[in-house]
Amino acid sequence: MKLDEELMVWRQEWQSSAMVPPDLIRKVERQTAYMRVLRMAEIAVTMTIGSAVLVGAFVHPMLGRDYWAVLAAGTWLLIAIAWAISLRSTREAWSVASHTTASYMALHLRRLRQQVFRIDCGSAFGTLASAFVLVLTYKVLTDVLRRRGVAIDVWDFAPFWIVGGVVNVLVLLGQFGKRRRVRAELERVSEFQRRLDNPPNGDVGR
Amino acid sequence: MKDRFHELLAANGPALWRLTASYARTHSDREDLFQEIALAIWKALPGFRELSSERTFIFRIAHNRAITHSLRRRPAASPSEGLDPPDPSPGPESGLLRAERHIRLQAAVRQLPLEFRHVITLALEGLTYSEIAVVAGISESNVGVRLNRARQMLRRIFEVKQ
Repeated sequence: MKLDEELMVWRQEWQSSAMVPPDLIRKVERQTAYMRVLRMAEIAVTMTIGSAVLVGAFVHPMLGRDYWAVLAAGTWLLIAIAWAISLRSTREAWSVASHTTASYMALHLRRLRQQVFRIDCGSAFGTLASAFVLVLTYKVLTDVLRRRGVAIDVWDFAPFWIVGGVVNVLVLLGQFGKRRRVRAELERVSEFQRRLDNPPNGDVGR
Repeated sequence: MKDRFHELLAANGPALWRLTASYARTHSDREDLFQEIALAIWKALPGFRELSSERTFIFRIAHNRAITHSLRRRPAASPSEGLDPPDPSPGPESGLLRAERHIRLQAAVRQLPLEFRHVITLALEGLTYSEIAVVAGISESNVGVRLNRARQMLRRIFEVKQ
């Protein structure tokens, strides 16, 4: 069989399937709508949390204004850090104009490195945020209870600290696992990029 | 943009679905990959300036996504699950034989190393050397070398199976 005939036969065999699972296109359409909502939701959540603590700082009747001031300042600081990490980790991630496979692999490698950075920063950020919330909640509760004549010790809150600590450790373990997976993918992509850059030679097949 | 996206998906859906067979093992994995590709096209569509043909634009995105999808997980041990049967529409050749050949070819392509699978899948979809070179970002001569090598590998796989 001539080489081009062989390719033509394979093409016919390959293209003999022209069916897409019936619901798949509709599923994709639903997802595109969902993504639009998600994008708006990110901004909405930031604005809602930020505004809520500011409003609380001025109008909440139960707590002292000092706590609300600390909560508002801390919340906005954490929001700023979260957005800074997010922007830093996606910087130039979409900047390659022509995505040939070669340039896309370079871009993908950069994205994976940024993902590792995001995981590292996210872990530190998560620990910082939860410590902030735990300490502030403890302070607010002790203050409220003290005003009602109930004296409490730091160890009375042991379950509260333990649950907070355990949740944090679990989240950190999850992040550690994710980091390992991303590092492994990074190595596979680097290896593929090396093979793509070098014209094939040597033995045929693996 | 929404209409354009739907048109593109309707026109290229079957080719994209076939492409997923080269890179994904199970049916659900193929569905995931198809959705990933479609969403990537949807995101990239506003930036499409018609500097390249629509077909190379679509295949470029699809293959890039498919390659990163494959690299996300460890290489699979079993290459032949989740392959789809061809159209049941009647033709001169018996449907069963056609289905068998189609499945055999999909399974063989899936056994190739990624850098060869990439080129042969594009060639099987009917892209020319120059179009494959544009999609992959390699020279036409490099496309030729890879395609020849991929065909040799496929022949060997078929020989071993016979």
